[in-house]
Amino acid sequence: MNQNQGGNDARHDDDSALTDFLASLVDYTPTIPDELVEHYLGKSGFQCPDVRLIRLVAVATQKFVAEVAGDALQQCKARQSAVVKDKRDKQQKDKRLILSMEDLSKALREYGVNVKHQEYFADNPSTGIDPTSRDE
Amino acid sequence: MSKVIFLQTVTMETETLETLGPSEFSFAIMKVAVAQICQSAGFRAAQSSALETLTRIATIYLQSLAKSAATRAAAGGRTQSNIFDVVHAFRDLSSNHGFAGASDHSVSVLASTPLMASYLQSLTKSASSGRKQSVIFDYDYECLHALKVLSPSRRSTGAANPNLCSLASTPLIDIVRFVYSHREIPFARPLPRRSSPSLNSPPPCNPKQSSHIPAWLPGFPDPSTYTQPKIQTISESNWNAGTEAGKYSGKEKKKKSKAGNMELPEKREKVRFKLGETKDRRKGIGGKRVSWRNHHQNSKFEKQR
Repeated sequence: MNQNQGGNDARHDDDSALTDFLASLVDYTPTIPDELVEHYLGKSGFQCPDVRLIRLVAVATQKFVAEVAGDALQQCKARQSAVVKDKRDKQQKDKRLILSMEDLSKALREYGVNVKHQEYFADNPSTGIDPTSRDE
Repeated sequence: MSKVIFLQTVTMETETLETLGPSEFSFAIMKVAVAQICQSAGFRAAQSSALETLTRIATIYLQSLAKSAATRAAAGGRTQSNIFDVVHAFRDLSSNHGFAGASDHSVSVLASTPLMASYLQSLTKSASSGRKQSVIFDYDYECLHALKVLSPSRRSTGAANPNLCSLASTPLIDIVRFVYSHREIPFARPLPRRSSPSLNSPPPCNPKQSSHIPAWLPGFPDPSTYTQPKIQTISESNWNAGTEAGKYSGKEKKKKSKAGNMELPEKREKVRFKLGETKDRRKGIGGKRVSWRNHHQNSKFEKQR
């Protein structure tokens, strides 16, 4: 009896949470526009007339990209703090957080995506130089 | 070193979008959205190759979510996906990275039936073809049955009870937290509306006169495609004038085809071909020609000598 009551409460919480979330999705506009998401969903065979599901998929993708970008940012900051230089240089570099292929490949490795970037193309004399040490 | 571009400029440039093809168009829009997300994460600039790679990965992620949800729906005998398909698809994709409660099999059961019923009711109100949505077929029941078989310990607590909600899965909760915590980032630019021309022209309808043909069949093609065209002389004469072969063997044919038909006339001139060098400079062409003069089987091509 108690178990059933506990179960019922949990269910009602889930119900209300989900319905609230679905209602809030209608207000929240994901960064990826609905038409674009519909285009890709149609390409993959996903059919649904409900716009909330489309928003859900868009939000899921946005969350994924935000996580990857956040991990790449942490990699970038870790690299900058590892390079011990003048205090002035460090402050200058803090403003210039650049998404680079190396940080991205390190961040994506945790998600099972192996991205290998071509190290250099030997077409001009300055190839192969570490990009972070170059003056920008 | 690859080009470094400021993320702000990616969202601002407007000229190039209209000139792209359809696949590049969607990719460019995705790039703008991803640039906005990166900007909100804290980046100021990005290497262009890194941005394009991330865009490509986001595209693949979106498509794999959709494919997985569509597959689940099809396995359940449904053509349209619902939220449970999407949630399960999301669990599948997050399993690579790992999340709390991944080993908890109870979450793979169907959601609580009252919630499901209320959700499906809301769907049927909004959608016209709600009938397909409200029937849940064998695959889903199989999951339920498998859970009953695999977990005898849960029988005491009523494993098949509708209290175990699949919609309380951790990835979904993470999404909820993300939505509530993050500020909304509207898309930077107004999307140019592209009207697809294929939708505007409906398939040819069958005219009413042919009553023996049912109306639901597609119509006949345009009559000009299967009737004989009247104007042929101009094109044939051009072809004959343009090629040497026409000059060579077509002189006789040309007389006959002036009538304008596509068909060959019944009585035709003998066609001459000669192998080897000929001294016949009348035609003006040297080279080998095939001789049919000795072939009696081709007598039908010959006039009576």
